[in-house]
Amino acid sequence: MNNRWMLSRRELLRGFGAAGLASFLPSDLLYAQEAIPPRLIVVHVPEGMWKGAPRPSAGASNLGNMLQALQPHQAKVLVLNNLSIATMNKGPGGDGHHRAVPHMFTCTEMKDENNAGGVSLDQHIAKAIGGQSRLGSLALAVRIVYTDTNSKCLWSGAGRVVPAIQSPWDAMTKVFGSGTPTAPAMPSNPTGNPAAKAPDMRRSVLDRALKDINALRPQLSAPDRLLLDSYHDSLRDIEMRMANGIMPLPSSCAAPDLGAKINVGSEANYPAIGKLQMDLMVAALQCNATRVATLQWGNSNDQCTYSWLGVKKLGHDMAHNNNNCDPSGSKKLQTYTWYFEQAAYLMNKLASIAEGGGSMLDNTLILWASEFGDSMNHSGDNLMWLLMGNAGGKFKSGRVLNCGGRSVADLHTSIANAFGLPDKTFGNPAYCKGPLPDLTV
Amino acid sequence: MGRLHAIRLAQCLLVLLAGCTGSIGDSREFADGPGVQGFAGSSAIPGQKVPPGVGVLAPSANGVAPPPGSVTAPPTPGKPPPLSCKANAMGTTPIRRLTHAEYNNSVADLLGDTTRPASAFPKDVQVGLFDNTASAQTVPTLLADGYLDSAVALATNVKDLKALMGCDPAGASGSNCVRSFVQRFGRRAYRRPLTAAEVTDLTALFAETSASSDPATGARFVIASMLASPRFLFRPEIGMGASPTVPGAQQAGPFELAGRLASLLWASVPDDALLDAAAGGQLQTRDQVAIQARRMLNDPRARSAVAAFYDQWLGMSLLESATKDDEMYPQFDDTLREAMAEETRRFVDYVLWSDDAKLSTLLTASYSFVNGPLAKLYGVAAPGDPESFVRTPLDPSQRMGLLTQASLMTAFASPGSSSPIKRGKLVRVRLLCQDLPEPPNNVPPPPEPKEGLSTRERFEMHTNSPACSSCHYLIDGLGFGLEHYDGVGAYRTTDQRVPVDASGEVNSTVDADGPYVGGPALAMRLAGSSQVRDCAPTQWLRYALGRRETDDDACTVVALREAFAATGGNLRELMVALTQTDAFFNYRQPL
Repeated sequence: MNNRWMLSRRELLRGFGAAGLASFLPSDLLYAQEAIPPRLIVVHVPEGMWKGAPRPSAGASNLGNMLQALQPHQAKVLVLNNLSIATMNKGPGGDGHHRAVPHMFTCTEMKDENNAGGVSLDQHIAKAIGGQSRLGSLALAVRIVYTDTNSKCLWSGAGRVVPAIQSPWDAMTKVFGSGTPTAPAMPSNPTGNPAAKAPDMRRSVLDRALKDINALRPQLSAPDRLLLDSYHDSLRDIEMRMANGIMPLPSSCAAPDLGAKINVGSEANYPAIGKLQMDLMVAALQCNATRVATLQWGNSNDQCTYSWLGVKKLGHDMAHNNNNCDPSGSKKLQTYTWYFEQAAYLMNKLASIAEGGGSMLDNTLILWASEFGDSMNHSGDNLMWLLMGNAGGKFKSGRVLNCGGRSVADLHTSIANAFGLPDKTFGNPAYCKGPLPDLTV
Repeated sequence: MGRLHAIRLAQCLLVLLAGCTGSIGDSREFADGPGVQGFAGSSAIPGQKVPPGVGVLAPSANGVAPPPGSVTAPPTPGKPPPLSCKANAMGTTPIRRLTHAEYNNSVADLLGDTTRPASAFPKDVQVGLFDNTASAQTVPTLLADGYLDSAVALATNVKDLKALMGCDPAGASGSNCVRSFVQRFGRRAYRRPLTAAEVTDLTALFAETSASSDPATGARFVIASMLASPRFLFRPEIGMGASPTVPGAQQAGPFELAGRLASLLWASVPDDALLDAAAGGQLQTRDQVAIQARRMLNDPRARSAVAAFYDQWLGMSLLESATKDDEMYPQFDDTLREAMAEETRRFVDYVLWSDDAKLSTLLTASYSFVNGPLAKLYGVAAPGDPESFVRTPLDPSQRMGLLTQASLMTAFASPGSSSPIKRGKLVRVRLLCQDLPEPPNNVPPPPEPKEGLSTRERFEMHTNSPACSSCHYLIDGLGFGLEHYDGVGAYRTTDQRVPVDASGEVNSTVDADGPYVGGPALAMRLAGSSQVRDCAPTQWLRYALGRRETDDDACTVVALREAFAATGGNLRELMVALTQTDAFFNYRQPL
């Protein structure tokens, strides 16, 4: 937690005596009083991999053709072969797609066939490290077609889905407001004197909504309360950020230029929207508007035909070789390669931003994850996931490991530990053996 | 044939239950998107509690997939047995959150603001076919943030406060003005009269904020507060006194009925006439509710509210996201896509509100609405103005009704070909209300498309083995009949230079079984079936209740089906019938 940093920043602002001055603070000043905060990025790519995909093998000296785009960053890449979603076939759920996605970051049985049964890694970590940021986490996505559990990998708790923003322009508004830097909001009317400050409508609306929820709650049945409580908790989350004072965005960080709006639903724009989302994500992290960001590419049961690569087959059909549309796997390989090129774009972007003695990439951990180890069979075993960047030197990067079938829950435990959480396990402890060995420094 | 059905259905299930290592061809194409899950063969799995009237593939699957290994009895194959209303019961009444469409309509009705702010909210989760499932209506932070932003923006953007409020909040009796406004506006927004405490509270808010700023700002605070209140965003219900018809349930209160009517028929808040009726004791009997329902159906608001159901039932969002191989279908672009969607919208609207509103007309009408690009696709004369949609007769040997429209044939197809499986499933799940089991995991591929081998032949080769055919028997016979329509719905007589064979067979239904050839014949067969006629009200009920029906809903389902049948399948009357059921008139608290 960064309370010390937060308090001192507040004191600093108070010292200036004018909230508006905050926007002129250079970022160095913001970071001066403590170490640069580590950030987490989670990337979800749909459909996993074919069994025959040419993965780099354990101990390999380079990343191989499929991951070639990442080769320049090899020293900061950790390839984790042979992981499994150990809980995937436990408890209720539908087919492999509808199970793997809500299981992969929660690692516990689903609450019912439409809802994950616990918190996902990103939200778990965001609760611990995101409290001081403008946004607890920033969930972005590119062209989600199926809005059921095919696309629902992020959960703030059992039955509580976290939606992702599909439009970079909408995300821009969330992160940067409507283009103008937001002055930090002090607690409204701290003196209780209504004349001291113009009342804050949003704050008032929020307070009264909470009050109404509390009044309404006792009248409702337990299942009905679950829905009302989700509104309550969301408002409390927003309220907490207001009370902390919305973090000013350092003057050194600029909102990216997204250009003119394009159709986010169109497949032709998939690559362009993806890049814009990554640009925006990096800017948000750089500005400390959030410390946890996620990017979902499409959804499981992939409805993209990768027409810009000339593939023209549905990702889902290729994953299963439906209609014998990709018997050799060459088209699938084209798409895998493309997704790693996108990962390289993200790494390059982070690496290009100097921070501390190194780059932003050094202070960030990217978890690259996809739900199947053998997409033909909806298998959640033999997964290849990647860690990129280092969360401030926490991971022993530059290696290709065979995880021996260990659960992704074990990996999540390691990641949570790297972000300072004392967790012994992640998800349902019955399916978690604790942190992976030999992963962290 | 009956015995054969039984054997084949049993095989299909046994194969699946055994883990289905057999070759069930291309079964991932079962998956036409959301909707697969939730129908996961739950009613098809024996040894589970099965609602009355539910057979192996029958409608009414409620429920949660059984835990592995829970199968205790052999499958009970067969057609759906008749559903009967034995004990007066009803399912529960979960609290409902406004859908985004309801939010947009409500703020338009309350404030005259037509900016549709909910379009910026995160999309709601789809469960089954619909996006309004009660249990999925949580409020994540992103949505709560949207509610706050929107409430502030809507209140701030009110141009003429005096006109909205009917008085001047800055006038001498500003607080009286606000008090009367809160009572009137609040009654619509909360769908009931406000309590004295609520009125006092909101008036006090006005007093506080206008003192620290100005009366107009104070009034805006009041408006914004109501728009983000759970009393507006949710429809909390508690019932009122024991139900005279359903033991263990409560009657819905008159204002609760008003809220339900407005949600179902307008996807919005009630108007003053409806609330006056509720207040005046004129919303108690079924006849009184029917009178209001008919009045509301005559209001333009009903048309878009009702249209939203058909969009979701038919899976029109799959058209929106459909991507086609531009070499196979160079004519397919966003203009044509939008024209297809518009054709179906206009067609449904016309059948419902300008034609006889019959389900059979929806399925078999020999006309549709065609603009320039569609005329080219359909091979009919283009309208003078290529952009306008003109009601056009279509060759009934080629096209009849919804099922043969380009929109559905494009949405339920592959990027580079038709898909007998997606189309078969469309008919089986959406029109016959029969759920299919999940496809198995391990499936060898069918032959690759090539000249001289039609789509149908490829799938036939693939699904010929007994293990495959046991399940595909339920799908292919429905999908093959639509083989005259290619992947973008153009009519064809050859496929890969092979003459199209559009012969199919309907099986495992109550009364639609039998061989047929081509889309129009399939449409006729479905239009004459009581099972299809019973399916439409079932789908509507799911949409209206925000959940799947359970065995407790049997009386409501039966009553609805009987009412629908009695009108000859009139979809407009079905809307009235939905307001006459036990489920509509009563409240049963979820446990």
